[in-house]
Amino acid sequence: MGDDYTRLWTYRLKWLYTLLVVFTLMLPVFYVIYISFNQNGFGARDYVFTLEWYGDIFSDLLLMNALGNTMLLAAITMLAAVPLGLIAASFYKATEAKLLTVTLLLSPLFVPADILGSALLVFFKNLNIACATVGEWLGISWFDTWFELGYFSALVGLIIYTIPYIFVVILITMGRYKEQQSEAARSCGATAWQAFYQVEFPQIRAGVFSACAFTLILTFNEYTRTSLLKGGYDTITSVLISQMLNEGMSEQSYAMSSLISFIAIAVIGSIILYTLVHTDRLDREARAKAQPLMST
Amino acid sequence: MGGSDITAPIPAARLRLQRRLSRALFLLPIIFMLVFFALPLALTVVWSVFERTMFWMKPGFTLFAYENFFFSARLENFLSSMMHSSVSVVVSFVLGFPIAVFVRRRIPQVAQHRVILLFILPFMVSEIIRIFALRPVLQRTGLVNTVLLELGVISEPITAILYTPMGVIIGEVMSFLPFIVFAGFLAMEAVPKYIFEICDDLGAPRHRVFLDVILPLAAPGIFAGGVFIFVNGLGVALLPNILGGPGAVNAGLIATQAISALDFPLAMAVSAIMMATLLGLLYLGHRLFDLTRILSPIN
Amino acid sequence: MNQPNEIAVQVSGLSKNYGAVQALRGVDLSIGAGEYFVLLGPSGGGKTTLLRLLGGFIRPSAGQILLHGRDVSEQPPNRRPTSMVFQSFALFPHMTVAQNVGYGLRLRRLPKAEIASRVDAMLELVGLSALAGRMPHALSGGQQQRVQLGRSLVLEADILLLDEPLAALDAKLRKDMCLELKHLQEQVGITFVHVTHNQEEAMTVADNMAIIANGELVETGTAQDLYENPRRRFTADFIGENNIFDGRVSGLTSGGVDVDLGFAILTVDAHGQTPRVGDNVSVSVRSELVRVLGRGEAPDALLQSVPATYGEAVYLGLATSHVASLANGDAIVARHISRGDASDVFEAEAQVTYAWPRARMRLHLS
Repeated sequence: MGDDYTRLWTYRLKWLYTLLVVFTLMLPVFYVIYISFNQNGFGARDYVFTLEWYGDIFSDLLLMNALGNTMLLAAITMLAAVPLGLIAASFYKATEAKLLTVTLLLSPLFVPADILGSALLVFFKNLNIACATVGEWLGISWFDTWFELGYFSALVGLIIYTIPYIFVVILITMGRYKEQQSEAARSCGATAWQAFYQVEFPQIRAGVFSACAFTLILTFNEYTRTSLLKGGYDTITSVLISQMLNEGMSEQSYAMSSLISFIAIAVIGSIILYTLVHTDRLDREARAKAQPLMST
Repeated sequence: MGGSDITAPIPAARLRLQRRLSRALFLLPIIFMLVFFALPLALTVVWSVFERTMFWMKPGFTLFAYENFFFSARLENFLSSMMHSSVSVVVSFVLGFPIAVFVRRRIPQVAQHRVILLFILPFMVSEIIRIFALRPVLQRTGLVNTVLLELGVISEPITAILYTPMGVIIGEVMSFLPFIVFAGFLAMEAVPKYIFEICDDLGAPRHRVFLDVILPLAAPGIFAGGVFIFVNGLGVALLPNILGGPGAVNAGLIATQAISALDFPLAMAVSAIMMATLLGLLYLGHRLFDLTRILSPIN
Repeated sequence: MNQPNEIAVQVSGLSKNYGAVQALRGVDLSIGAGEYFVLLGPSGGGKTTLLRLLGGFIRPSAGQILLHGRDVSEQPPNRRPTSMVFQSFALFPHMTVAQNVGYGLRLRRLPKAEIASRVDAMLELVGLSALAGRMPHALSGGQQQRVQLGRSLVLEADILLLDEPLAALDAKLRKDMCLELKHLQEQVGITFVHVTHNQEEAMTVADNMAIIANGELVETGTAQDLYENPRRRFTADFIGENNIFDGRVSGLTSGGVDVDLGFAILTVDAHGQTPRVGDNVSVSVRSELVRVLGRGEAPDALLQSVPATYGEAVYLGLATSHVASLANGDAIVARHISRGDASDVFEAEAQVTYAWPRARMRLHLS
């Protein structure tokens, strides 16, 4: 490693390049945010700072309604998908059929949004028809609407979308956990649930929390699958898309895009900050405690 | 022993029940994925040969949807989107993989994950916003042209970017580049650090180290990252829809357009073709490099 | 606490299969209450599987486990009168030493004051009172194992299971902890079942031990029994340093069993076994009982002797091993206490005689 420190400039250049790439990837978003505060909008020569466009969004009832829907959907998805991912990761650790499990759980990453969305859309429509047919045949109608496009179908699509990320994040934190601790807890008299909740969970909590944050953000931002599967109601991204496609890039859509980005960045930023501070503190404590040991 | 007796035996019937319940709980995610992921995708093949009706489809066997795909402009569009996707894969690899190597080789172990975390930042912003945001950047009066004009690099605004294949490729690279960094980072786990020391020791030139050591060891991860980008380039409809010109249509767009046109068998045929492409690529990769090696870091 | 002659562990026909692999095959074993019992054997032989079956961490494929007369074969670990000490990494890293030790008591919902006093007493017993507030990562390996011991013992379970508890420690510390374990067991008086692959460790602590290899129970007995009079060839090969000769029973006389090695016939006491003429058997003798006879020194009637071609001497400090080869090519080893002078030096390729007391030979039918 000393090799490159002696050639400090190459090292610095490589760092610069890395940061430049990250910056470039973020640049369009920054630019949109920049425009959103301009009284004169996109392309204007004179820049006049304003919050006018944001005021317009908050008075837009349709959008506020969509925001509510999105938040609700994100919360439900998180509550359903994270436990599923947690169980899947535990299952993966215990099972012999590892390859099959991991393939099944990670392959949604490789299925593009539009393809999965279309397949699920037709799947649910068919399920719905099947239910209606069976219901008619039996003379009952109470499960006619179970599989109609709506919250449930959107939820399924979003769980499939987010579960690979949850699975990986939790599995990585679980990798550091030693199974003997659960066994030790069991032999101290803990039930399987107590062993998980009192011994394993406190140690994988960071992973579970990041998985929750990921799920919220991914769901909040997701457009394609949700819009195909959501049925009648609006989500924030579907409102944004229809506005952009109908009116082109209006000042309001710049503001809306910025606002959505702000929410996401704020959520994830505070989580990253929290984990960084938290791990630093843990590191310091660990070092402080390890110190007296050096002499023994 | 004091306290409540928590070590009393459990009746056999309750033990059996507990065991069954916990097995059922553990299988829940697997069953969920099989029913709502594997099954719908597998059934696309069946639905793709159904007959189209006015608003829906009915059971039958016809290859009309495939005919509709293969003997029309769609095939041409599909093939050219494959071309664009391949270019994106190469560009992403060239731009992104060196970052993965750099982080693995030169950044201290504890800080590596934080640097990689930087590349998650773009994903915190919605895909649609990131793609749409490229419009004001690349437009005739957009950021790139303004800056280049101001700097005097060009005298006329470049108009050949947005609404051309070039725009789609830029969009794909901007959207998927982080994935090659992640995949490369994971793949580099397969390349132990001491190997670089050995190579330095042997005085191997840089390009030989890259070709003879890094590439073969990291190949499965690189391939997985490449397939990811390729398939998403084919499948994400937003990219050509927002950034491409009139001819820019990929599989995802064909599928969603078919859905809007209520031509469900066609949408299913496109899905089936995409799945076949994906499985074919993964099979090929597995034969070439044994893709299970990618999973070693999480085992 | 325990009735004399009470059986703490009774295992019958116990088997465990992993797919096609049989980790444990039809083991029958009983362990008396209050015993320090060691399961000794080579790695991968099934001893840890047996211990984990006792603890309830895996379910038997066949057979039955009775602990203090109660069938627990199907019961989970928390419903058994056992407690387990693991090789390493088993402390709860997010709890202090005291919290670790008190964890089981907390699960039993004991009053806080009682937990505190019992934890204090236990920390005193394992010598960790000063470290009660430490986190596990700030402890040395030996201290961590003491915490584990405390965490298990404080529960006053009837049977303590120890899975290679000293394997992660360095040699010196292991020796000290070994004796400490033994004394601790005498103090608390409960049954200890201890798994190890280390003979010396086993010999130090065991009242009784069982040899387990290839998924089978080879032999049980006291340390002295197994060292002095192993029944099975495997035991002779595994414990101590034995010379083992394979041969065929060629005759049965009043003096014992004649075993034909091809180049010599050994006459061995049957020790109550009933071999038949023609059986393939083996004979063993410990290397420290074997002597290399000097030139001109004649074996007397009590000694069994064989001719050998001298190979080399290996100096081991306390002892020196003299390695030679027999007429059939097998090696034979005599271990002498090192004398540090020329009286014990032989020339390579010299024709020498190796001899040992006839009465100390053991016959192994299997």
